[in-house]
Amino acid sequence: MEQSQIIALKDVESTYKTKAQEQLYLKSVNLTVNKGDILAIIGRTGAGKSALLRCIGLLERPLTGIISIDNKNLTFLASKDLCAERRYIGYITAKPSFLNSKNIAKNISLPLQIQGFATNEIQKIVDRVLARVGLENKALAFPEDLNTLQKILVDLARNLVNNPKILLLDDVFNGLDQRSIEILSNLIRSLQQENRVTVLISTNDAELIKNLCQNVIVMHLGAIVERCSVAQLFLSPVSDVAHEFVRFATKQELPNSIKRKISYQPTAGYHALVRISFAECLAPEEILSNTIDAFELKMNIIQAYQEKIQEQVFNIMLIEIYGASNVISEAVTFLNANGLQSEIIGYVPDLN
Amino acid sequence: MFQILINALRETIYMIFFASIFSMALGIPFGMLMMKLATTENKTIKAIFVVCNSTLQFAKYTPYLLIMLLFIPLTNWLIIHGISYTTATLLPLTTVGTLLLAQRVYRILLDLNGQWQGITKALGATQKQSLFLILLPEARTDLIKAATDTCVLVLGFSIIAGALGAGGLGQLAVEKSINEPDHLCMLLSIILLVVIQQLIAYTGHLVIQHTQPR
Repeated sequence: MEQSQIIALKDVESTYKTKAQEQLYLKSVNLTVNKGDILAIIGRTGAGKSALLRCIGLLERPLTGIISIDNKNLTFLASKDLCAERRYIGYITAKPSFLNSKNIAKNISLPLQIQGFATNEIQKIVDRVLARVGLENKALAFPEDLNTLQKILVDLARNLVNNPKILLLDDVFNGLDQRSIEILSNLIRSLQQENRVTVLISTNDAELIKNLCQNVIVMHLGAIVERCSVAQLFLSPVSDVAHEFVRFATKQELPNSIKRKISYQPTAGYHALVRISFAECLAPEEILSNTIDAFELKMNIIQAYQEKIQEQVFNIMLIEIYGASNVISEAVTFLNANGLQSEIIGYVPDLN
Repeated sequence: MFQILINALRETIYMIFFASIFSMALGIPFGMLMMKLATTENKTIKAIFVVCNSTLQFAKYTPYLLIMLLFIPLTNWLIIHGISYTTATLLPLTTVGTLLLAQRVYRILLDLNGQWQGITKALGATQKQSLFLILLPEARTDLIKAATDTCVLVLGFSIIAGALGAGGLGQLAVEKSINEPDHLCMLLSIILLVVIQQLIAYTGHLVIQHTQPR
């Protein structure tokens, strides 16, 4: 299937002014997103995740660079035309604001009223979007009656009135319970599948990324440092930030007994600690034992666990390999060639 | 004595009724206009805004007595032309009431605009739409409170005006306590003033209750 680009950012930079200085918070960001993608944006707090979303949502103009949505350069549009384009970009935050003096149906119809729709048409659209998010019975409730999830759903409904092509979720899942996260991610998945909506989510929730997202970008200090699929992120992260994220998010933290003794340089009398990851469909025992035999090595399994990413299951093993370091690196290359993704992560002395 | 009290009461009600009505009719649009001026990027309009804003600040921070004194040449001129003291007092009362209310309305709308600016911008609302669809409905309760407060302030100012000879319960209370001491009459006029003030506050409260969305 041919995939068409929906978002293209070229050398986008953005700053904000404080009294003392101008602070750069997006540094030459280049990014393309395909239509129908669900993209997670991860990074530490202050890495520029929200800034990036705000830029894509055209809520602020970048200092330099070009933002094109659907092959249309929007950077230099006049404010009025920009408003028309912005209708197709939904932007949702964790703390949406509503008109407290008006009920939910009126709140949702606000953007339509502004566009000058007829009353009966507005009614139809409001009913449709409320049904879409499953809040038909809340049309006459007031914003303060809603819980956090319902508020977010209403905000989503309000963004759906114009059939957006892009949804930007700025830390929306933060602070929701598991069940709410599931409801919301199912809704987003169905929007993506049925309406081909492209979704960008800024989050640091590893479970959510595994279940919902397809691709990930990693941000650090205002720049995109890594872009990969979700499986790649969890199995072979490249950048430091991604490593850190995966380490904290999964059980890949080394056991304390090892952490105290590990050395990152080959050391005499130490043996190698190797992390192997592979898809479930592979039969690792055979390959592993063949390798061990072929290179005349000895090995010892320290940790083994499974990681479920979308529908795929991955196994991750931490093993010790005894032997000369040059032989071990050859063995690791051999394992990689046979589909077991392996990496020497350090050297440890005898653990016993 | 009751006749005097009733006459004074009638004068006071006349003063504050018309002064409040005019203040509301002029003050709320003036506040909205200030808001419009404040958000317009244009040198001339900026200058007009600064002048208007200074006037509002002047009305807010200058004691009413001084403003009354400023108006004396004008009111005297009106009185010479056959207008009663009480009616002539409406001029400074309405002016100050309008300015104070405009100041409140402007502040309320400005705060709300700050909260909603991003959203109205994102929705592509025109200034008119954002005012009528978002700001005014959200500001309703605060606006009614501001109007009520202004009426109470106008009542207070009418007493000061009364002390300067504009008639009404204020004048009666001052006369009966200094010139021709009659403590009962003074007390009654003060009680009446307090009752009026409470009635205004209660009316404002009722209106707010009535206009709540639920």
